[in-house]
Amino acid sequence: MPPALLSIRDLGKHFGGFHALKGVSLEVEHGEFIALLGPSGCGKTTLLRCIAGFLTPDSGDIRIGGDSVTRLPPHRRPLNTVFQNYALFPHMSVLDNIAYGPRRHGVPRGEAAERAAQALQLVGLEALGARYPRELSGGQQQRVALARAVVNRPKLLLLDEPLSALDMKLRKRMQIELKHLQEKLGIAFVFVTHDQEEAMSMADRIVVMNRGLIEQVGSGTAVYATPATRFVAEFIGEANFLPGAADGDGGLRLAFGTAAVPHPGPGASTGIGTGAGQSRTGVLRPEHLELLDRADAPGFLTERGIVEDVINTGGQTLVMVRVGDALLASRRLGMPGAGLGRGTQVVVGFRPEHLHVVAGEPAP
Amino acid sequence: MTAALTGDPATVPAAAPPTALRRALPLLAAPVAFFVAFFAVPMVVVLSSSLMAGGAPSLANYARVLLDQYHWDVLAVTFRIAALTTLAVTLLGYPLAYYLVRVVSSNALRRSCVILLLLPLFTSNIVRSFGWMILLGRNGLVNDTLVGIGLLDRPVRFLGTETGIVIGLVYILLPFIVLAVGNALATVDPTLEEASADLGSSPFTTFWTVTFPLCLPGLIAGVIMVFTLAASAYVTPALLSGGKITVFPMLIFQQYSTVFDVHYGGALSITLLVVTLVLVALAGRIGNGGGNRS
Amino acid sequence: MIARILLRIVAWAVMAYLVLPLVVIVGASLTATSYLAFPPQGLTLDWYGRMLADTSYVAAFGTSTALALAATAGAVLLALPAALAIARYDFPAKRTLLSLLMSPLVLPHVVLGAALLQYCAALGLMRSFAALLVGHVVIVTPFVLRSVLPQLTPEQRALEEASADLGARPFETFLLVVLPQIRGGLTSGAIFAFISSWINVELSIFNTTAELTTIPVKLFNYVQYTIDPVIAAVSSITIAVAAVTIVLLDLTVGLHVLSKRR
Repeated sequence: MPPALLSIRDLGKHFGGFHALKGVSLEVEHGEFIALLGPSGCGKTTLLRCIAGFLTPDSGDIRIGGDSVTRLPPHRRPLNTVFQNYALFPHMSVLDNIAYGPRRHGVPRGEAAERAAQALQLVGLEALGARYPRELSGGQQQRVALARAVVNRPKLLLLDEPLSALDMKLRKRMQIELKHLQEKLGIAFVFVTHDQEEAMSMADRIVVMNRGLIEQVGSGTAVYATPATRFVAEFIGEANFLPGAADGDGGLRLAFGTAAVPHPGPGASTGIGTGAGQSRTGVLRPEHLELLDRADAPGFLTERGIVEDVINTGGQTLVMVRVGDALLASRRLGMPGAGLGRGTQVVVGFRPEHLHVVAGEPAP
Repeated sequence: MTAALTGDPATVPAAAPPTALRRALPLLAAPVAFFVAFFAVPMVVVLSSSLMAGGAPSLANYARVLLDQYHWDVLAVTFRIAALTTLAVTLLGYPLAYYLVRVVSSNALRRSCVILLLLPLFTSNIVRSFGWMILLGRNGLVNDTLVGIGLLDRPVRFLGTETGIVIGLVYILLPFIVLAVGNALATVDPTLEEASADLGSSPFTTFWTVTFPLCLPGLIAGVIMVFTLAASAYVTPALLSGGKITVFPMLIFQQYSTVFDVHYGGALSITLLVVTLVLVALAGRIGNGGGNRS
Repeated sequence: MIARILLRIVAWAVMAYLVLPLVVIVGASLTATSYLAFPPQGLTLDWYGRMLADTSYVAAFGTSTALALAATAGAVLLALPAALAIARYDFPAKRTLLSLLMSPLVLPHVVLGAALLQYCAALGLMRSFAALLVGHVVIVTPFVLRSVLPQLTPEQRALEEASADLGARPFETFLLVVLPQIRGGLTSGAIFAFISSWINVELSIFNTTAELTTIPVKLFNYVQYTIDPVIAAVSSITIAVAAVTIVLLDLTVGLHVLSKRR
């Protein structure tokens, strides 16, 4: 089997007393689109900068195509980066910015200009080659940065929150363009973002990071439907958290009425103990908590509750229901129906197979 | 420094001109009146004196300055010293600025160095030149050391030579260029250098293609400042020349302090001013043509 | 790597070059010999005693200090309103005005000194404290202007509008909002103004007399004829003043040069 395009083993990095990476391992295959997702300070940018060569890790190894690059300076690494603030050279024209890479690799001036023009065409800015970066809009600068990074045809492209400076509409459009470009060029992307929607819509695999560790690696569907840890469940999407504990007989007692949920049940992650009294958290997505017209609906675990709020989010309705001490969210398509308002008594319920269980207690 | 000199105030969305002027006037009255009375008018007086000879308008003073080979020789010495000083200051100051901003990682060390850099800047020219008089004397520390380590057979005369004056001026003007270049370097976005490395540049290439062009405006500002100060310096050359070398500002000083010929002295002053400004403008133009449009 | 080592060597050599003359002066002021010697031969503070015994030095220190303080005050009073007007209003010929106020920075001081001598002679002020003062105010005003102007930013303007909106009269806004915001720039500008006036020779030399003289001018005239350890002692005092000023600058506004601005 040929070696992976990028292989990271046990990477550690600290700044003073702060441990930014605490042993991170990851493999990236040719042509893959990987998103590094996590809150600020989780280590995702540190990881990216270690791969690019701007930081030297304290421990661990980074290999590209099987060869260790851990000690190589950035200019000797066969990859390129799109920077968060684009880092376009303000003293060079757009074309010179893009031709900069080929020139450094010994490509003659004329051919470098030709390649730059092609790369510019690729991002649809062929008319702007003579301009200077400050004469471009944010979206145009973004595309120039992209063209500059792909002109050398690297096997691996690192992108550090490249869309964070754009407004929402443009960001959505660029997400689609970027994905198409990635498929067209067949370059592997490692894309840092703190925007889960962005990661979900673009990446083949999402790497969820927290406090210098990888919490889960998986497709967008996998990290949403079967989060490996409480952190992932909290960070990705919205969720109701039902605190509870294992009852020692393979069941689970939840703070949703008095129901015992079979454990490990469908959708439960494996590898968590079943000892009695160990705390567990049930993760229930709002779309799986339904408003029912009777308490004995077949296949549902149900409880009575009181509506606290009805929020129309445009095409969807979010109903906040108080069940005992907990305030739970239920989401459904369509406009809020008549007769549903604050104080309405309702029955809410879910199918047990939609409940996903992780270890630990929910965050307060 | 240049930003302030060429007038680049933070332009605020401002009121329409007529109202603006009416509101600005009370604030501007005192400073403008003072600068007109004690700066602009005296300079005009010098200019008009220089254009008077024997009670009538005349260019005779300028003829006297410009047709005399002696003045051209003094000008040549003055600007040769200024050019050599500027060159030496740049070659010594740039590495120090780069070292302090980019290599020194300890803030405490950088701060100590900044204090040592400001200390001479805050000390009078005369005191600093005096230090060099002690050092460069026939039996001074410099000669003793050079003879001691065998680089020289016998003491060399520094005082009273152009070399001595350049050594003194370089010393006096070095902090200016270090501060100008250092502050420009500190504002260069380090991600630009990372981008350059990412695209395949060695550190050396990155320096010449990215870092250097980006802090060129700071360097040019520093160079212009140093050049004008070197060309108009009076104290240092007066002390280190030992009466053997004459620079242009000395001629001006003589005319006003001993001879008190304001017409001839005025022509000398205006000549120095014009030649300096022309050279500065040229330097600025070359700098702007150097490809830096940011 | 070799380049790095080379850079380090050059940098430290240049630092040594910057400090050497000052060390030599202070060292020479302590010598027990009657001529200047470095390294000093024997240690004594006699030369400082002689300096204090000579009333002309004490008087010159007084003149220098009074002149520098007065020039700084004058520069602040002129530069502050000018900076406010320039930052706030878009009046005609603003750039020309700014150039006029900043040009003493690049004008040869010898030329300006000569001009002021001739002009003050015509006004009957020749070789007086007033003649010295107006010249010093002209050359140090740019320092204050240069450090205050960048602090009067658009954000700063928004604060002033907020203050006015909350009912403050213009003067109250200036005192309570503007002044605290620009205090740093004003302080460092004033300190630079003070020291520039304190060390000036080329401008002062035209309007000083044997009785009315500043320390640098007195040193200049003295050094050209005689060199003895008293000169070194006086020079050492001025180096100490420079050091105290820098420490003051560091304590009040901090030395932000050569570090990243945020």
